[in-house]
Amino acid sequence: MNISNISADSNASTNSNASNEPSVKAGNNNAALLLRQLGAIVRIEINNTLFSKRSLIAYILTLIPIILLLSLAFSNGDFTSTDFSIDKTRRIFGFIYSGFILGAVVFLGSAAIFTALFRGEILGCSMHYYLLSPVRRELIVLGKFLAGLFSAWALFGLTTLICYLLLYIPFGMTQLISDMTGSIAPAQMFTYLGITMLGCIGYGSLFMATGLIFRNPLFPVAIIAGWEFIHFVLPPALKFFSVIHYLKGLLPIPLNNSPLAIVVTPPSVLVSILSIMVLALCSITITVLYLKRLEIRYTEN
Amino acid sequence: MTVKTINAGSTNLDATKKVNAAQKFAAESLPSIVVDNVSKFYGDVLGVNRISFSLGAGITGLVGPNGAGKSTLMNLIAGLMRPNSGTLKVLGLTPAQPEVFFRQIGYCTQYDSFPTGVTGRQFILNTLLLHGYTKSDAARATLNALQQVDLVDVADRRIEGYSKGMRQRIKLAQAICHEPKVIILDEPLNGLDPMARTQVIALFRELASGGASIIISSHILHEVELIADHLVMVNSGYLVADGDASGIATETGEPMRIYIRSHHAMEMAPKMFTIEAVLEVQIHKDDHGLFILTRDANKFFLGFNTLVLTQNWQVDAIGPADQTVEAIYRHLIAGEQVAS
Repeated sequence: MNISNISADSNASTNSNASNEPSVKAGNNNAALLLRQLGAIVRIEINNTLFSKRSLIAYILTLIPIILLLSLAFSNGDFTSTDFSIDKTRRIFGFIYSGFILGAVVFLGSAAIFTALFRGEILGCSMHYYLLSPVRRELIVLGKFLAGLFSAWALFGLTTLICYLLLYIPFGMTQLISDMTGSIAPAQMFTYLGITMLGCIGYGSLFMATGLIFRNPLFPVAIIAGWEFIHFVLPPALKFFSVIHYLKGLLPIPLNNSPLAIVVTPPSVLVSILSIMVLALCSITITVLYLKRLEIRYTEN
Repeated sequence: MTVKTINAGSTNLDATKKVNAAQKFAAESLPSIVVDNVSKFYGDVLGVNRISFSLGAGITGLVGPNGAGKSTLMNLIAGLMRPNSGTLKVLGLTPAQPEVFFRQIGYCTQYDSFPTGVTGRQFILNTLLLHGYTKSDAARATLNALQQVDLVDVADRRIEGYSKGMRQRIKLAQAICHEPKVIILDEPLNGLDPMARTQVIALFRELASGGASIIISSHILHEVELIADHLVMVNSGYLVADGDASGIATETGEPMRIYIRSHHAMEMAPKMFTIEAVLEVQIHKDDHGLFILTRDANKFFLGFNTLVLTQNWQVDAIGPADQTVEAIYRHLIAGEQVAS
């Protein structure tokens, strides 16, 4: 570093300030500034979520159902049996989707992605970089949530899509093209993708709050997992506090209930969507309130 | 006395700059940081208690032993913590308005933590984008900040691969990239080699002369002496002293060492004892400097000014010798610790 250069640069910086400041100030208190800041948060967080070591679990979870279905498709199963039809396969996919993709991949993947949004920063001692930036706390939460949602849906939506397409391996391209140009397959596929997104919204918002509030989010995640796992035996009044209850009500193919299940009428599509949105809104609000009270300590203790 | 000429020369220049800066600090600056009766507790543990001071533009050294409350105080000023009682304002703003408040603040913590996987350039760029800069403005300001800390050549390398000194400098660049009015630096010279220290200190002076208020914490008293125009001393969560080094020394009654550079040094030496407050006079080995030990700096300067005028002496430089802060520290803090 050359001291005379510093001086020159400082002057340059003072001059450039003239060009920097107005653009910042001009954007102050207006939508353009907020959008630029939101865009920056989303971009930074997508990089952190999809292209860092902490995304490994999400990638593994994304690949498991694909590998599983691929191995099933190329196994020596008797696909020529009369019992084996595309309708039956779609039903089987419904079970795989609700039990495995939704119940395990989306749930655990969302837990991995969304809890790390804040906890990862706090553990890495880099949270203060956000808190020292002139960004409204609401915007930090919203940006992180949107980045988490984009990442989760990109990964788990892709899994859903690929798994759905893998159904057609035993039936060949003709069946695939015929179904895709018809109405059933695209409708089902988009419904599954929509449910995956709602799952990411519901679980994601919950886990984002969990990651900020709890020092070790593993325990609350385990409790939520247990609650979701036993939802089918819960009395009707308690089922309403389960995310999976609303998601299963949206499945395109109604599935048989377990013999132990306490059967209730599934909520309507509108109620399901609204309930998950309300849950997300509450979780995000709690996260914002908590973040506004958050203090960072960089002391030896 | 075994002060080498070359050291004395640098002390001489530093002293001159410091006296000028201190005068500027006292005379021109309006308080940009006002800490009013601030207390912070961590449960039952005291962080800081009933601390009040105000700071203007210039460089302030925050001094105290480990656990004295320096980091707590800096976190409070930076808005990363809220006080349990009292008020704290930076340029009249509070952290309750983050979108305005944090535009004025740059904070370089002493901790070696960065967002994972980023390069030096991305680190600065992301900060500026979060501030709301447009991409082109952010890129320009990033380059400017990197140039200021001399990291342009390694800007596209991941920070994980940086040396300790480079990490320290990139944190510094991050703290100043948005041209804040208040810069808080926790142990900013840690890990820097002597050359980099000199350059970074020059950068601090440059920023301070541009009107920024800079708070620097350091446990290396010699560094504080070298950099700061103003001192805030804390110990066990309490404010121990606040002011410029000579003022504090006078108030505490701690004898102060003053260095005078002049070709008339030999002539001056015997006449120094005519000034009431002078306790000791030492002649520099090159015969062109004097070290004066005085119990009251103000009285000494008054008497010395009169002598200079009557004797028609030429004075090249005058200012506190480099052990002042250490002496005050010993008197106010170390002594207290021994006593307790």
